Amino acid sequence: MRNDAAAVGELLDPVGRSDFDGPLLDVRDLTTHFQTPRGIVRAVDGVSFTLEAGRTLGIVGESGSGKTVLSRSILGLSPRRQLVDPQGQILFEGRDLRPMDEHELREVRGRQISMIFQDPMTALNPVMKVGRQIMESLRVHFDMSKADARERAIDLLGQVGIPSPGVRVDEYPHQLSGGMRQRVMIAIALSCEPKLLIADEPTTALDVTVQAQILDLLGRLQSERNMAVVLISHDLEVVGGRADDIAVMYAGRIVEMGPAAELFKATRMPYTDALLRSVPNIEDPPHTRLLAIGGRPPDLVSPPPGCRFNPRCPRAGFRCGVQEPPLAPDDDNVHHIYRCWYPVGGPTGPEAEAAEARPRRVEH
Amino acid sequence: MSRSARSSFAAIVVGLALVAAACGGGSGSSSAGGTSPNGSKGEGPPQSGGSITYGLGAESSNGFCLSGANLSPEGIQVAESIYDTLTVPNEKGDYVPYLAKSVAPSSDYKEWVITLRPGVLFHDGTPFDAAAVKLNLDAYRHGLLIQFAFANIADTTVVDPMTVKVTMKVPWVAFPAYLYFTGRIGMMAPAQINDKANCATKMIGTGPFTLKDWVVNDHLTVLKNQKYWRPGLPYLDQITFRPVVDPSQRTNGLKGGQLNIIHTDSALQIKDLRDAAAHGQLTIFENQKGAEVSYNMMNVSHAPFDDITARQAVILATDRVELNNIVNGGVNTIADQPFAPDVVGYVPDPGYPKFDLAAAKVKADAYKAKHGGQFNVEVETTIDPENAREAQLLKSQWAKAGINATIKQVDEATLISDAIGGGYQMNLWRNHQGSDPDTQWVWWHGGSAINFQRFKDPAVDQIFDIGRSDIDPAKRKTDYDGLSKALNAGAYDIWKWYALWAIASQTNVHGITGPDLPDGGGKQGLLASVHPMVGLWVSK
Amino acid sequence: MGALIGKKVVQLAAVLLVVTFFSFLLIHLLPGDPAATIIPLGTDAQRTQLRKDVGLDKPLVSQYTRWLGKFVRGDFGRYYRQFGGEPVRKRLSQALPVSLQLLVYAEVLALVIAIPLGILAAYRAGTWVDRFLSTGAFASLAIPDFVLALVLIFYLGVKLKWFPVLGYVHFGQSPTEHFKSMFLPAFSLALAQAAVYMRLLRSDMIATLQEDYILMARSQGLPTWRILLRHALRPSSFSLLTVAGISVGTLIGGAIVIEAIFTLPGVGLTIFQAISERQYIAVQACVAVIGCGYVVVNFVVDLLYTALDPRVRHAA
Ligand SMILES: Nc1ncnc2c1ncn2[C@@H]1O[C@H](COP(=O)(O)OP(=O)(O)O)[C@@H](O)[C@H]1O
Ligand code: SF4
Ligand SMILES: [Mg+2]
Repeated sequence: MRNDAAAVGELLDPVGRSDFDGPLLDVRDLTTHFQTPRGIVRAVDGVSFTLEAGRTLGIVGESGSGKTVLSRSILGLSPRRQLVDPQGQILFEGRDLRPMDEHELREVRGRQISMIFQDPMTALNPVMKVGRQIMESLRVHFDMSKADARERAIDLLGQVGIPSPGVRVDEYPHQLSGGMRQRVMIAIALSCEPKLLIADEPTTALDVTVQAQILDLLGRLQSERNMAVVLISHDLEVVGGRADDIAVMYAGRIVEMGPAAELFKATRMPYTDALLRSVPNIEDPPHTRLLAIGGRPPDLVSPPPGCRFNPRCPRAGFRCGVQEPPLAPDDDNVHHIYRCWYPVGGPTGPEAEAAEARPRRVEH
Repeated sequence: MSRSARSSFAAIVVGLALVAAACGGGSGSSSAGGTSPNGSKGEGPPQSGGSITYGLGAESSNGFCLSGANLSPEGIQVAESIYDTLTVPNEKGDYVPYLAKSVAPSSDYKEWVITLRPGVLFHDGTPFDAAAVKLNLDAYRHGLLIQFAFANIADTTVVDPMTVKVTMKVPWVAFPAYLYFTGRIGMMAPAQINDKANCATKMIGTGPFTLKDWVVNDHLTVLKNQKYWRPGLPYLDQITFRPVVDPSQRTNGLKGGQLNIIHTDSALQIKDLRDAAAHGQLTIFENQKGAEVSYNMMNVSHAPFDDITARQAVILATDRVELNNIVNGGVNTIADQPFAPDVVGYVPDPGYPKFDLAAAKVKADAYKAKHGGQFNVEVETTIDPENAREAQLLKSQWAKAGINATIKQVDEATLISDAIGGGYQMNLWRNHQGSDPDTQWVWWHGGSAINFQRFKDPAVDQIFDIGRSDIDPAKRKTDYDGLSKALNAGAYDIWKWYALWAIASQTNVHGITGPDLPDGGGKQGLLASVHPMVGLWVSK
Repeated sequence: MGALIGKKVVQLAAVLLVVTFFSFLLIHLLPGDPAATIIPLGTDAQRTQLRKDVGLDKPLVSQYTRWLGKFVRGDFGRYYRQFGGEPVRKRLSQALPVSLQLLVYAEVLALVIAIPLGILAAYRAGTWVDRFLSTGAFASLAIPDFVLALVLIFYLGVKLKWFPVLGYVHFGQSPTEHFKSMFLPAFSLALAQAAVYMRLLRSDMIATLQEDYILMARSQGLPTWRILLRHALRPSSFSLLTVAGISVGTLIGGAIVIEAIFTLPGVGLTIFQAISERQYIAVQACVAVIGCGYVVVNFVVDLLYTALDPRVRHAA
């Protein structure tokens, strides 16, 4: 039974409910599988996490681990006709976004949850003035007049640190530098004051010098607005100092998640460990790092049995190839969860199995 | 159909050809669709007012300086609205005074006195008087091609303001017919004739309508002449003539409602229009009277047709029934002579040979034997695809007789200038609109400058010479009976069929055959291709 | 930007010179004596007058410069009729607006048909809607415009009497009748163009819809129509615009026949009539006007292209 006031409140603000006191975003057992000619790609395969208002979740993982698919799934931006049996729930302020149709999602997108993309050159419309691109969202969500929207756009450009915004507002993306473009994208994303911002590799395409500026800007705007952020990067270092919690993804799954400090301090999952020990690569673009281990992420059409990391894992034992480890809390910290039979800090797989096997052999 | 091409012969040459049916006979008009166009049944009394759009198959881009214009039937339709003629044919085929009060010969027919109808004004307000008539006749006597038709006039003199005397070189019985000339000899105002630079476009007549504006190739609009000399006429406030060259589009325009009345000589369209008329969708008026004949003319001044054997061979080798079925859908009537059945000169059996392939082969072989085994013919026709198809068909028919034909496609002007200049062997032609046979003098008399076929046939010349000056009207009617036979004996032409004309209109358009002639003269006599404009009216 | 336009203007002038020269040559390509060809049945005095008017006795180059000088001043010569003949300019000044209207209406109609359908086909790419539209486009490409015209005349003009089958009504006289009189001719010309445009827009649009900025727009919650029309259409329309500009040539060719069928008093009908009346001076002028028009239209399209794509504009 609901009272009338609640019903009216839903009508006025059908999705964002300010009186909701659970986590802002609660993703449960999310799967996003794509139908392709090669077979079903299990890009996101049972991911769960929560995010409280105003906090930052960092998601890291090699390229191809499913970070982008995960972030787009949240806003229902995955190619619908390719989706196979989408499962799970995406509870935003308690309401499930997963079953929503385009029309309902439109109320959420931009207004409640925004995204910024990796490459500001391709993610801004090349034939539209940047001002107009900002104004679009304002006019759609707030029904603003052209003049008001323009004024607000100039204001936003100023807030994201673009000099002489009154002039820039009438420029096209190609007239701006890469950093400026990313600031414009942030301005667009933040124009409607969303409660959650998903930043998918926001600095990957930028120069190192600019990277920090953009991340600082994001941090400042986040705290000004008490906005939650999902910060996605393949680079653990980018996420490191800025996320409250960090989730590490591998082959469509979260393999380790916990408070950032804990994760760095007591890394359990060998894959996370490898990410941490990755080194800057001189030849590649400045922000790419070379993973300390060889090999490539598995084919998501037919992931390896057992632990998905086992073909590359330096610690893998026999069991790793047969049985998949569950996402289980660490003995020392229930907020720190990971998937591994032979976590860092203990014996490696072969060591452990040898230890286990010896007494048995003795028995025989 | 092959209309665009052939009508232009009319446009330039045929101007000369005709006068009108001199002999009597029935009305010659037929009307499908159950509505009679002449107001006699079911139309009710004419109503005044309204305007119509008239679709024509060709534009008269050379203008309406009538003495030199050589109008096509389409052009004559336009001229009929602006100009009146001194005489018109009545239903019996006699030429009776119209704008003239009387046209009377001296007893020897060497002098004709034209007395004018009083009180007639040109559209510019100037009086229609003897000086104006003399000016007109003199202009016609010097017209580019019409001069040949009027070559027998020696002099014109103004006797008094209402009387003109015309003196002839030899007695000329058919003169009143020449004063009509299918409506070509309209009386132009002196202001038009004298303005040499603008004579073609500054159209001023005494007719039922006055020129409003003319945009060449687009439209020509005429307005009711409020001071017309015939009381109560015309009925319409306005007629817009619109050239629509494509015959099927003319039919479509009529059916679609953009055109109220059209003029067509396309056999296939006529077939279609007859159907629509039978279903009551429109009215069709067809008139076979004095129809033109379609034929192939041969030039006897050149090989191969300087040899009668060659001419006989192609005549025998031509299967005209097959040709008519393929080219005209069998709609047209085969002709064995240049005269339509209602015209003086027509005889039931003119002695034209039947299609006979075996006989043709014999003639062709005889010709080849004389000329080194070769029998090559060049046929000239226009670039019109229908004409070209007909020529192809002829070529294949003749090939069966061993005659080797090549087709030369030229534009119309070249076809005509080749005819005038003599640089052709054979061509596809259409001419000889029904009239007093005297008017054909220019085409076939050995003394004519424009005998395009260039024969001097004593038998033909003798018939013309007798007929021109025979003052016994009864005998004169039989003077020409030998003409077709003489032409066929010379084997100068492959006669094919009589041309068809139809005037189709929406069912609310009436009065196509015109009102009764003034002074109790009965109905006007009509020729196949032209009808008067003065009586048109629309029912509301 | 200015330098770019300056360079283009110079190119334009050069092309115009070539086009006018070949139009001018037309008279000299006639077999035999042009005067005798144009006036086969007239008098020698008329032929002499024509030779004098055209300057046939002068060297070719000076004839051309003379002709060009007159052409530029709007003196297109005259018709050589049995009696006088009106200036070609008079006729052209009446015909040109009609043809321009026809071309503009046909082009607009083609775009009006093609853009929504192209967008729809792209948006629904791979579905039955898309396949249906593609099949329709192929079918309409296969129908020659004059055949379509005849079919439309029969059904919409003669049977249903929705549109007039011939004739032209001035806009000033009655805007409704004007558009009705132009509809069938414009549509006959437009349909095949629409098919070309639709297929082009469809494929460009499908590519555009893969772009990140479309995803960005979607992630901002913009309505689908707004994304398609405001974000995706413009960047997808560069090749469409170029082809639409080039197609003016096809349209002009088609318009000559279409004008003749519908008795629309445009430049096409004027050429048609002038050819059948051997008015080659008028044909020459019409060809030159059409040629120049075509060149200028493509020049304008080039400039428009610049205006449409800011990247090109600023690259200059
Ligand atoms: N639309 C799609 N169809 C099929 N496979 C896809 C699609 N989108 C992404 N993938 C696959 O899903 C996997 C995860 O990709 P992505 O989320 O982009 O990785 P990340 O962002 O972590 O680099 C990749 O193997 C990729 O090829
Ligand atoms: S489960 Fe085994 S393979 Fe997987 S990460 Fe742990 S040790 Fe390595
Ligand atoms: Mg990614």
